[in-house]
Amino acid sequence: MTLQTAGIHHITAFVRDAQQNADFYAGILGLRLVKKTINFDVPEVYHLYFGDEQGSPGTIITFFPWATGRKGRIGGGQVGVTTYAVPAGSLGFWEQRLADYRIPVTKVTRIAESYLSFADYDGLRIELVEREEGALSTWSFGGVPAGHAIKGFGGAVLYSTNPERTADTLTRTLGLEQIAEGDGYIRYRSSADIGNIIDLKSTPVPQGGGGTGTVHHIAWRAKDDAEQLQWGNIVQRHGYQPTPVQDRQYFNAIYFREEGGILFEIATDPPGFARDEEADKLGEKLMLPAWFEPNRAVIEAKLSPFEIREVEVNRV
Amino acid sequence: MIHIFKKGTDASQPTLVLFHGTGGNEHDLLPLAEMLSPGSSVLGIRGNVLENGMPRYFRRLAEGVFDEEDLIFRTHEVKQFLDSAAEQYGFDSSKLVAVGYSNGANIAGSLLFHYGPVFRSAVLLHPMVPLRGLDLPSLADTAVFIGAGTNDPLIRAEETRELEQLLQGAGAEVATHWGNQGHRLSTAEVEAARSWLGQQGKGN
Repeated sequence: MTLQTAGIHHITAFVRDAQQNADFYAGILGLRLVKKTINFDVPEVYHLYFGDEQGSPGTIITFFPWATGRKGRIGGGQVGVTTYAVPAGSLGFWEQRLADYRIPVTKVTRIAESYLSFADYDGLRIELVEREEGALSTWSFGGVPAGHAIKGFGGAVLYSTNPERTADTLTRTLGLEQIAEGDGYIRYRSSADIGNIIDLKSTPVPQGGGGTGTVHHIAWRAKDDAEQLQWGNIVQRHGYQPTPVQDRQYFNAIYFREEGGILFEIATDPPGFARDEEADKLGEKLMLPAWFEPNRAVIEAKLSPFEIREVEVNRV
Repeated sequence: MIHIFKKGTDASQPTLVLFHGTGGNEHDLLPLAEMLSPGSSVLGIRGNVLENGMPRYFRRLAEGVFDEEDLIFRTHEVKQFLDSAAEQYGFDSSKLVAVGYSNGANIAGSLLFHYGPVFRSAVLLHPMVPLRGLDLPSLADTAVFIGAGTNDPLIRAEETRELEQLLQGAGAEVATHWGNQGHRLSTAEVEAARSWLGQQGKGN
């Protein structure tokens, strides 16, 4: 029996400015900042996590706001587009909302679904699609009622430098199922009801360049540490050498770069974001792992403050 | 910078400059140096940056995403250190051989990218392209050995080829050994580097 990932755990990208990042994902898209921490490798850079009320796997987008970072170029070897699922009948609400915020939107159709396609302030490509699947959000912020709120990832569009090999990794390694093909994409699905639809562009995309405005990696779900160990073995059996398990505080992670150039992570569902903050206080305080606590004052002094706030609509 | 200098037994051999991988130190590659060029003097340098307590030569924000400002700053810092070490220990800085693994290979690569022929030869084991968009100085008298893995999880074959092309474009002679041991050093790779380095000595 092939092990199948439930779907996307999280997606991580680079941006420039923490306040703009918060304004876009919390203020405009209405997601919840579920964790404010730092890049464990570079402690003067934030690591911000936005998701549903609990930051459930399949809803979490994470950012490293890096003020001096060079702008990246979206291309092969990356998640090209991050797809968010909204409730059926909600696209009209979102079209109006994005127009209110003067965010240019195009409507596209792919494999018989309609998408609103736009970019965040750093150029990351985002799209919204209506999906029946997935529980309604219980979070409401900044004028997004829970009934129209983003439920989580619909999935992602992958740009590969070698789609055949990426397709192979998606199906044979991660256990996704191919369910459709059309409009230049191959569609795969996983077992979860959110973060579950992956569209792979079926022609090779020239190598992109990492940096701000690009996705760094996409993480797939492992249900616990034991399953992650299994994943490590499966990944190795398919010819990859995954990294050792790394403690990311809210999940454990292993990484490997698939042959189409995309950095894949396999992340455990537990322990989740409520491990060090009350569920109703998520994202309020700067959280540091124990090994950084002694340096909190120095670390905080190097981070530029930002706030979660409603973003004013400037109607003409 | 924290370092170790071991005077060699054979003055005709070049001095090896050792650059460890993330989490290593100035002693890490001493056994490798002994395999590559017994008798050589050896300068092992510890990276000045700490990532979670692990020494590195420059900062990164995440896997494969380098802090370019820091990379440039640290590259100059290492170059200054090499110049002062040459004075202090009296080695011939026109005959240095760099030996770097992973992050260490990247800083050695960055030294070539910024300063040209800092090293007569460089053994870069699992290197990445340190920096893009730079006009490279001439590397006409420099030879580079690249140890790469077809299944290296951190470095794609395309990136290795890009590095080859950049170095060749600057005039360097490049030899690449492909293995399939992931990001690890393999015996075959070390053996290939040893034999390549032996050939470099000829005709000098």
